[in-house]
Amino acid sequence: MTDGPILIVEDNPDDEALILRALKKFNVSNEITVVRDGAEALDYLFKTGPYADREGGNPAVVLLDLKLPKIDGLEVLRRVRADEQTKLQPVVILTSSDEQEDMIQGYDLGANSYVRKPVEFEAFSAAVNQLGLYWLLLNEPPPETG
Amino acid sequence: MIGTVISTAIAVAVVGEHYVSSQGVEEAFRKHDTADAVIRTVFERTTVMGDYLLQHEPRARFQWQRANESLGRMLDDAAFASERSGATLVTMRANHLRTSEIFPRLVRAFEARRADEGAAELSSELEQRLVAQLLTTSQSTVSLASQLARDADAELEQDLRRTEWLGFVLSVCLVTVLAGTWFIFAQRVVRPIGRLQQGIRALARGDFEHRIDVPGRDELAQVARSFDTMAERLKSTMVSRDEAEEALRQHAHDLGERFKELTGLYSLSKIFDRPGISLEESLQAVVEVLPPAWHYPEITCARITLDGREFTTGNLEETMWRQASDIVVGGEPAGAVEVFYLEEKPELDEGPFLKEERSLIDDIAARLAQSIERMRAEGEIRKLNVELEERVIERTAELGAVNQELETFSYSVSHDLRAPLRSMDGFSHALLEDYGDKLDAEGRDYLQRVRAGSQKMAQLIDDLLKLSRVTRGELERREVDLSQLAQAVAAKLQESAPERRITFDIAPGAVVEGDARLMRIVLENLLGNAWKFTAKHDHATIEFGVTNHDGEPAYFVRDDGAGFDMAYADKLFQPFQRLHTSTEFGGTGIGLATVARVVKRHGGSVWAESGVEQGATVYFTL
Repeated sequence: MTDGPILIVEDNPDDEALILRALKKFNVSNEITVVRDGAEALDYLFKTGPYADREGGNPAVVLLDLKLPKIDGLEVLRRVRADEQTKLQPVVILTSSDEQEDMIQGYDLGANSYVRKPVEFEAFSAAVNQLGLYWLLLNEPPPETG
Repeated sequence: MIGTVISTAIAVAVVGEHYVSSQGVEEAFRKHDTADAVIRTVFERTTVMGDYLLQHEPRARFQWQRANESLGRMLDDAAFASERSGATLVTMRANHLRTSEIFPRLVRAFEARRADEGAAELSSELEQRLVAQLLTTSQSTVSLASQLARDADAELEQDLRRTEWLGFVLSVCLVTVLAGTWFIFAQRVVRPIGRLQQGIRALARGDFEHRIDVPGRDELAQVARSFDTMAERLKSTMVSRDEAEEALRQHAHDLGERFKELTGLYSLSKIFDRPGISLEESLQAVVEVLPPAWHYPEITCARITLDGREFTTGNLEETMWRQASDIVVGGEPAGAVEVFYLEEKPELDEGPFLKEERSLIDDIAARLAQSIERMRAEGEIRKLNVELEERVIERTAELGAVNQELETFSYSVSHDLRAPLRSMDGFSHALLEDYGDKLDAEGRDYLQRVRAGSQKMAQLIDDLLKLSRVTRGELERREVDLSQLAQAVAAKLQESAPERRITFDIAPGAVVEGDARLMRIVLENLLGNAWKFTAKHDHATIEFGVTNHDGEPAYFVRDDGAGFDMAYADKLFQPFQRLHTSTEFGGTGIGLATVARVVKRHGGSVWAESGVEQGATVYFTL
């Protein structure tokens, strides 16, 4: 099991609570960090601004919403992929949108997975569970570089 | 004629003279010959008589007789025309007779004496007398012969003189005749030829008035008359040719004028055809092309007035030689076209301007009116077009903005409307899970209803988004195998509820031109509906096939399920319209509306046939 933290980029506190609840339900023990907008997410990932003194490496997985204040999710993904340090960072897009455009763009920019947030909690929970299983249990994160 | 007579006379004279002279000359020569022969014979006879008398030879006597006989024959044969010679001849013949008598007497006397030996010595007196008579007679004959010879010479000379004189006279005659003939020739031939020549030269110079006019009936006169006739004809030909040429010149001039007019009208129409030319520019251009269309362009000026504005040629000057025509636009006089001559021009029959120019100015005014009307109409149309274009741009922009808004709206709906639902459902679920035991059955039921409501709303939102997505995006037409697609959809449906006993009867090979994604939505909806509305039957058949509808293929999905009342068929394809309660059959009422939109976007139509509990068939064409 990978020990790295899980970064949740989510501006909706309800969704955040539901995600956390689902993760807890499936006994995910990793450290979970929640940021509220795209700019904060980038600060966290690149250790800038308020996160300049952050200890530790890259998160095990980033759960990225698309519709975010300041910098939107696709832009965050683009910058993450553009940076040498984070270009292999596993990123899962977790969004309410089922717009094809978003999905295609997300995969184009190198999202590892694209999951739609269902309204029904059971389905939502199942989706989060799947993410946890896949990314936290099976997937080896890329080795730290630099 | 006279020439011929004179010539003949001269010829006759010459022949006659020749005959007469030759006769004379011949007689003269004959006389001369006769005279010579007589003289010679007389001498011979005299000589022989001497021989005879001196030698007494008988031979000499015979010789004398022979000579005398020949003289006699000679004189007998001779015959001369002239009287004098005739008389001489008669005398000579008389002499001969005398001699012929005397000689025998001499012979007898001589022979007698010779027989008488005694008297041998000399002649007797008789003999001497006889000899003297003979000699005298012979002398006389010689003299006569000499006279004859002299006469002959004289006659010859006379002949010669006469011939000379005649020759002179004939020469004079000949010269006279020749001169006369020449005169006549000159009169009859040379002068006419000269006149003929003159005539030809005159004709060659082009003087068709000249007449040769040779009187008479001879060939030359005939030639001259023929020539005059020819000249006459030529003259009439030339006159008609001149008339024709004059007519042609007039015609050419007229044509030139027409051409100028046409050129004027043509350049006029070209001016108005120039793209983007303003009315003012075209009127100025028109006024400039007016003078060249007139008879005297260099002294012609023109002016066009329209609605109080003036357009003139540079040399405008109002003179009394004016021509004008009103420009009538839309039945109202709007202006005028005027043409002025700067100086007086020779009055023609019709006035200073040609008849054609008067109609030309009317034509031009009419043409101008037309063009002005047209340009105004075009201006109006252009204005309208510009306005229309502006409006279209405006509308397009508005539409774009609306579309953008719609996109944003859809996106927001997709994200933001669903988020609260997720909270409702998620926290209701959390409440049930974490605090379920603190609630009674009714409380739990209420929470279930909150969850159902939020899930239902999420479904509605999803369907609405689908419906809106159907009308957005480009239509990508390509070959789609509907049969295959139907098979795939059917398989998925069967998979979702394997326990249901449904027979799918799908006709193969229904290939159409269409957007694959949208076609899938259509079949998903139609087969999905069929699946849904047969749910209450233990066993059902769902059919997909093709039939002929008004000559084109109509595809259909048929089921033997619940069906519907055809009275409400018109509501079937409206969004959110349902013919069954949601407790009977689920759904949001969006499905058939979506199908209708897709079919409409493909240019087809959709309709349904059904009856309650008789199943339903939905047809569509593309």
